[in-house]
Amino acid sequence: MFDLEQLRVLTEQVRPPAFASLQETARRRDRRAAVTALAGAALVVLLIVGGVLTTRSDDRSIEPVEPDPDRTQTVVDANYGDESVHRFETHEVTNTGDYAAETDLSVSADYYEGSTFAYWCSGDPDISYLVRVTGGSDDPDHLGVWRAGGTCDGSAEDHGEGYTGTGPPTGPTNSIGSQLTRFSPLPADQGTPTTVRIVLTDRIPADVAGCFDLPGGPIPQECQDESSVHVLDSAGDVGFGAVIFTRPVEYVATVAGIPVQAQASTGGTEWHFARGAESMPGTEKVTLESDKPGFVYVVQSDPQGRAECQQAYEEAEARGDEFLFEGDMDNWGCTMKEAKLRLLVDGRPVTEQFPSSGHFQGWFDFEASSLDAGHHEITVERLKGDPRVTFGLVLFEEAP
Amino acid sequence: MAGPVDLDELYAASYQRLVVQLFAFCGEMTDAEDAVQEAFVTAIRRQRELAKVHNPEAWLRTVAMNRVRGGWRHAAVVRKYQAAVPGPQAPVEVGPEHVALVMALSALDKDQCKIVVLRHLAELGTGDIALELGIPEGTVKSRLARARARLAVLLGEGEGDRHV
Repeated sequence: MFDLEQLRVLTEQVRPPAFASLQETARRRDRRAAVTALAGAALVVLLIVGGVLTTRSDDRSIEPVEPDPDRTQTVVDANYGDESVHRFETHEVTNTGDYAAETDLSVSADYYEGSTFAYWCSGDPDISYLVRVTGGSDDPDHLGVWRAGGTCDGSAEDHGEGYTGTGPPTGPTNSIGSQLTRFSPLPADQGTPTTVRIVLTDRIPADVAGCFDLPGGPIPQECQDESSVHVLDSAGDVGFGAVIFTRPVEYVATVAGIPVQAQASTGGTEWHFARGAESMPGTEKVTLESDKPGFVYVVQSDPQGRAECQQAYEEAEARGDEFLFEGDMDNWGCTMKEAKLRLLVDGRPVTEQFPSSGHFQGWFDFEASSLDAGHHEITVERLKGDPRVTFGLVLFEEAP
Repeated sequence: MAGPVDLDELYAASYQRLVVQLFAFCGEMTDAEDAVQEAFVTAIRRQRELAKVHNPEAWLRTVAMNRVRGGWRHAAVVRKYQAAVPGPQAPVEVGPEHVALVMALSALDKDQCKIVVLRHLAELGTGDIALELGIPEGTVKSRLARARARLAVLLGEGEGDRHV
């Protein structure tokens, strides 16, 4: 008998987040649903008025695109526009003499996961600092900002690779870890500021030592209470500085309906989007060629299903329908189709996948799809699945 | 008739085992944790509905499994509207033996996989599984038998170990 019970040993390792954090998420969704219902009602009014004013022969049915026999694939090139690929933003706050300061670090942009928050404190090693991040994104660990603490001995610390920890960092820093599994940008929080609160205290007592350098996620209750530390009214000549390095995502192309960002990084190496290829309706494979080190990932999408689901969702929201849970497409009366795809490099199959567990827009298997220097032909082909699903290849190459 | 559910208590009692069950089902610990957290968020928002449910843990499991099966997480429409759950709190050390098991489970038909998880991790009887999935008990038994046979092959167990 197979020993499935072995998996039970993992139970002890699973750490539940605070139940209060889930309750807060539920409250946020309730609020957002209420706002969306209002906005949906307003949208319906606008659509009706607009429809009456603009056309009387509006066919709202969503038609599939007809195959084009003259083309088998489309090659997509990057359009970087006027912006630098290495664009990033810094925010600096200094706090000398005061015991606490709050700063608004909200930036309106989509971020790479792993933006870096770096900080330093100098002047008196007997004084400690605490850093707290509150508000902002619903998922603060994806911003790469940690609650932290240390002494004001002049050393600098951060939570990103590529920074040595001496003096104010100049960035940008590397941030690839999470991208290996979640190759998607983090959407900036919509209008809610992220607040970084900096508190200078007596030397940090041992009983709160466990509150420092937490790897993201909700801050444990015992670490949220300032009564456990002695906050200073004045810190004399102590200086505190912080910089947040954010790397706004720049979308430079759309491949098979999926927006593609300009750059990625792994292990300190910068990769730039080079080009993409997408299937035409009716075709079963697409190819790209590469002569430089890089990697590819595969995307697929069902534009028709997406449009239908979007429409169904908005209609249901406008009606005030309740769902079993948001994302339950069965309740929306629409279906997103998928296809099983295979990736080949130089004619050799390297990976195949039927995205069905959360990676709907594609997959990113860096090990399987990395390319060394030299000429390579990369192909992705459809093994099975609905023909209306479009798919494509996205090629990243080492920056010059 | 069911009554109000103490969600806090249910959370403390069932979160971890639900995550492991979902992990066995989907093969991704991160997705499993997200799905279970999503299920609890749904439960918090639907407490009146949950109060009518005979077995709240089974309800949560179904919601979480639907979530994983739907593969909807990264769809733009949801990302636009949803507030995110906290996500994993600490890495879970998944050993090679666990990977082998999960890979074998992933090779099963999804319905078979679900039945195996319910039988061997949730420790439900075939009658309870039939109730939870809304299928005849005989179907549960036949799928379970086929799944066990397939797992035995996938895990390289000897003939003597087969259990049908």
